[in-house]
Amino acid sequence: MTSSPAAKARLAALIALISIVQTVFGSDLRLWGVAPDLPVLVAIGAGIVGGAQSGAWAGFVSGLTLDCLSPATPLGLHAFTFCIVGFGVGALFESVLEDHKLTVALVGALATGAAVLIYVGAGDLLGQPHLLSAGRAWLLRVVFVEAAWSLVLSVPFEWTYRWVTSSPSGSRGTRSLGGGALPSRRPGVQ
Amino acid sequence: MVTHKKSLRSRYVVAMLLLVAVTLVAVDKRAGGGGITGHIRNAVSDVVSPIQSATHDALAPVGNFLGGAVDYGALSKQNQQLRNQVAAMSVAAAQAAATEKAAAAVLKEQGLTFVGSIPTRTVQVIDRGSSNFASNLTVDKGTSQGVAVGEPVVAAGGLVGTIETAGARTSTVRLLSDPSFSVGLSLPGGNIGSASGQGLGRPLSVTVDTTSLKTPAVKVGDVLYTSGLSLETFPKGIPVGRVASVSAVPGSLEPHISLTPLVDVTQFSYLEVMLWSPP
Repeated sequence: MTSSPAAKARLAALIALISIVQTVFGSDLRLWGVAPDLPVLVAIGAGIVGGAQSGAWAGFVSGLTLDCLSPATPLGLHAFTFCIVGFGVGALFESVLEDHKLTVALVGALATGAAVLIYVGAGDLLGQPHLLSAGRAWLLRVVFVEAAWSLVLSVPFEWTYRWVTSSPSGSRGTRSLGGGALPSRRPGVQ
Repeated sequence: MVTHKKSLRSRYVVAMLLLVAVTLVAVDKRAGGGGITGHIRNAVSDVVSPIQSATHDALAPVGNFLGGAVDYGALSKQNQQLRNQVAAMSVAAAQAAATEKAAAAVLKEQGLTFVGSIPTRTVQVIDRGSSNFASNLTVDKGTSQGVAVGEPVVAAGGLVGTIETAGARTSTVRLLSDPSFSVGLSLPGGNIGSASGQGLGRPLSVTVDTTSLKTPAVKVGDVLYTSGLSLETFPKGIPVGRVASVSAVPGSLEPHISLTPLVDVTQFSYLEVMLWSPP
């Protein structure tokens, strides 16, 4: 997790809050029957702000928290999915992409869509074939609606993540969830 | 060099995390919702349920507002339909002979007459299931309030599902629409069948189990009830769903029947758990 204990505590609180809001409020936010996926934004935000390793850790923890709170799905499947998504987003922002609002929003939407497909595909491989039982049309609808939510929420969530993981000295979002400080995600930034 | 080492370390970390996640999925699958993973989830659910309830109460008005805004068109249409129904019922009520019958029918439809003498426990829905791929919800009563795994869950109208897991203070309800859900049905002509969930928002699929009897004469609109036969996990006579379609299957004597659940769980904040277990 982040180097600062206070930042760790804030991040843990954020993950718990997001997971509870998702389980309690998520069904009330359904559009065309599809609920948003708020915890995946933790993984995406961590990947953008902290890099691949941070994204993987944050995704794993937020996914596992969601798994513990939602008994309908196998324990570990969200953790598996969000870990991959956080790592992938972090790797992209470490090597290729720049931290721009439009980029963040688009990557957030694409990563969320990918998360849905990874979740269903991995679930099918790991003995959860019922995840595909609702059919392709439903799967596509879930992909698009969840991606649309993330398109809107990725940027504000990235800001929130930066604020939560910022240290008192003001070096925001440059610490790895896995331990040491990240040298730089983009050329010429640090 | 440093970047390369860091990249390797990141990959090592993600590989370990994925391995842990896959192991958890495998253990949970093997335990079938029970075992150590089931205990962990129940414990977490018990700890978090008061917070969930408080959050649910606090955010319910916001959710209702958003739901109303998003579904405004559908609500207007539904409102108009309800007004038409009320008007039709008013006309019917004006006819003295029909009034008593109509009132009795309405009471029968609204009440839980099918429960009979079986005791029930009222539970509040605290999590409607925010997953887009599972048909479960969480309620605020558990084993300490007498709720047990396998007990039927009903609402005004009919069957909702069954208690899948029960912690001390919360329980999970597996809904009719879940693909792993199955319930025995009575069909016309002494036939029996079983209805299985097909996923969120999809009708139940009915399989006719008796082939030696005359093909069941099921019509669209018929209501089908639980059979309550021995080894069944539901008592007899609970309304399950209304027949949505009946179609002939080439090469088979038995028709393909699809069933729309009578209860729309999104409309209920409170459900009833029937404190009943198979004899």
